[in-house]
Amino acid sequence: MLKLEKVTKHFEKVCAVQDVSFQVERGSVYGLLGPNGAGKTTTIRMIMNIIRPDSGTIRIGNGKTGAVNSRNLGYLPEERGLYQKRKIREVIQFFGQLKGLSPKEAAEHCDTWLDRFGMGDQADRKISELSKGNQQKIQFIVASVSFPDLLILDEPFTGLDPVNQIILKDIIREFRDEGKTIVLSTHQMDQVEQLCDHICLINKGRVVLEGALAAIKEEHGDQQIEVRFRSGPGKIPPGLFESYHIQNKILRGYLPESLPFKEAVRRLTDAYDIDGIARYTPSLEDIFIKLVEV
Amino acid sequence: MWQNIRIILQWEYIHRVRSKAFILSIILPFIILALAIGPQMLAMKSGPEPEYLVLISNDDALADTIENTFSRKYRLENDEPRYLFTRQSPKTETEKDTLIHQIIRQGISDAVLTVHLAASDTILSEIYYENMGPEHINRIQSGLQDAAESYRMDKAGLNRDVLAFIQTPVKLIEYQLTESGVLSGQNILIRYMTPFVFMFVLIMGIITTSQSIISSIIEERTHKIVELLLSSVKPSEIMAGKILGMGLLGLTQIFIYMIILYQVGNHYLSDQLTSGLMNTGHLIWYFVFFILGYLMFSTIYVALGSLFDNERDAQQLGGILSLIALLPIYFISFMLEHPESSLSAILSYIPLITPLLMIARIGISTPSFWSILGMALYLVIWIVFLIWLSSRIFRLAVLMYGKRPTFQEILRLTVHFPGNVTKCVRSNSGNVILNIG
Repeated sequence: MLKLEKVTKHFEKVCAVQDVSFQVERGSVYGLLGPNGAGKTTTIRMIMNIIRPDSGTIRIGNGKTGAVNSRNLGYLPEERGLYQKRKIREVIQFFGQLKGLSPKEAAEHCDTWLDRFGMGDQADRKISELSKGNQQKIQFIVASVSFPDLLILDEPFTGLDPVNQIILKDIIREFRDEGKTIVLSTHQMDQVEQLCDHICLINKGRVVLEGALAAIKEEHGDQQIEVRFRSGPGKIPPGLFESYHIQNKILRGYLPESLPFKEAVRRLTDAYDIDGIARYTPSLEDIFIKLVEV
Repeated sequence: MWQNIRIILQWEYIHRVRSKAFILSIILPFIILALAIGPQMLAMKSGPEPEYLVLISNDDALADTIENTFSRKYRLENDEPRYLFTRQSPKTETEKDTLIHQIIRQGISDAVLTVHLAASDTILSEIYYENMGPEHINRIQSGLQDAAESYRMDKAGLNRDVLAFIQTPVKLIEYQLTESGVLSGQNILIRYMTPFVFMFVLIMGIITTSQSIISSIIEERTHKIVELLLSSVKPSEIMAGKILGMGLLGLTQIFIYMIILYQVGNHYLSDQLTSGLMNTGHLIWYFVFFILGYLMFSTIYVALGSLFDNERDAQQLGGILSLIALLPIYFISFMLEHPESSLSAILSYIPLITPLLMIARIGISTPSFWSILGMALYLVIWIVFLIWLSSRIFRLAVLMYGKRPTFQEILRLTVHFPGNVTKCVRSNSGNVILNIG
């Protein structure tokens, strides 16, 4: 559905994005991750044809970005804003029509979406009268009013309460189940873990990790270990862990590549009073922090 | 492309035309006009009540002449005399002073007029009052002058009819020979008045809607709507939609102004004059240059709005630009004297004042059809160029949240045609780095 090949973008001497390549399959939720200033928004803006790459290609479906019917593309930018003095209905219909919907279609879609978010009775209120969370919902509706094939969401959960986060996650899953494609850029790793099938981690403009989420977690979980001590472990001998942290007699850490898991267990049980040892499946946040710190 | 332009045009137009600012922009010029000329009109218009004057004169014949002259010259709408006189004849200067103070203090009369015929028929006159408008003083002065002339003519034994015959005014009938025929009298007045009406409306339109145009762009910047818009439409479509929307708003404004002026004209001017104003042969050209002028200024205001991220800064520069719209007024007297001079022609080529000067030139002189068409095309080229330029400034500026592009950055953008899209980032040193493709 979406394919980026060696996409590069410089802003004079600053390289914002360097040789970024990834592919998003139709009917999937794809996580685009990275720390602040990593190049995520620049990448998204290039996908949306707001800015153009210096080199590389971006293809959406069978066509190049820019040649795609805007009706098939939805975008929720990180920098949010709506016409504050206009009515909710007017704003949604306006953007719907810009997406290629007829006035009648735009009106129908507007009602459908507002009902979905339980805001059907507020259609004639001005945007400025809404709470930040409700404005966020309208922003999402504006992005998806045309039920696009490709929906790009930049930090969609910001400002939403837990109930509305659940509603939004349900909608994203529905979109996926209907064969639509979602690119999700967020810092909330737990949301990515719940929603995404594949991820791409960008740091300093480059792709540092890309692939299926489950495979990535498995790959990065090999050398992670969780040790439960019966009493405080005291000093940990050097060379046993690459890095670790201890909290409430529980140690979580990375074993060195040269140290097999079984050997580590033997050395630990010989030296300490151990309650239990297990391979620890890292969270996406752990992987993110580890890779970004490196 | 046209579909998106139409949607944006509609969006801008419908919202603006229903806004309080637009309604105010329609009413405000008339309120200003009413405030400016209203009190004067009221002052000049005769009141329903006559003014009471006490006349003190040492010569009865002169007093009779004054009363007769005033009675003949100044009448109320109901044909009653505007000034009613009562005569008093104090014996001494002290008695006169006391009498004057008494009359004024007790409000017996509006004013006391003393007329003293001195040696060699010199007339010395004084007027005492507590509250009396300058228009009354002017009338009394003029009435006294007429009365003095009549008195002296009678005394000199001159025949008034002979004098009236001598003073009969010479009648000068004007004929203007134009390509379309011969214009005379009232038609010439119409020919001169129509462009001024259009110029006035255009200037008012520019001044009153400039704020709306700037606000429209700044709203999208400050509320960060631009990125959302740019994900669906091209910057040039946004610019064109906005500018055309504003152009349509301007047309609505002129249409309403015209209806009001036509109604006012029907009421206060002769039918021939009013219908003449609306049926001038150059009316189409006036409309063309009105629209082009409106679009020209709208385009510039849109570009200005793109440069600023707060309304206050933009309004300051916008205000100066509005003054440019007033510039042609300073050249009008010169153009009236020298409509076909080289300077008039050269001034017409300054795009900001071209529309107004062309409206004036068409009204005052008779430029050829091709010359007018050439100037209209010249303006169209400028407008297209400015839309192109504005859309580039817009695209550059809108992505620079919280930062205004410097003059150098704008210059670089325009000199290096950005085949690639522009974007800026803030470097570690805090400088804004631009990519101009």
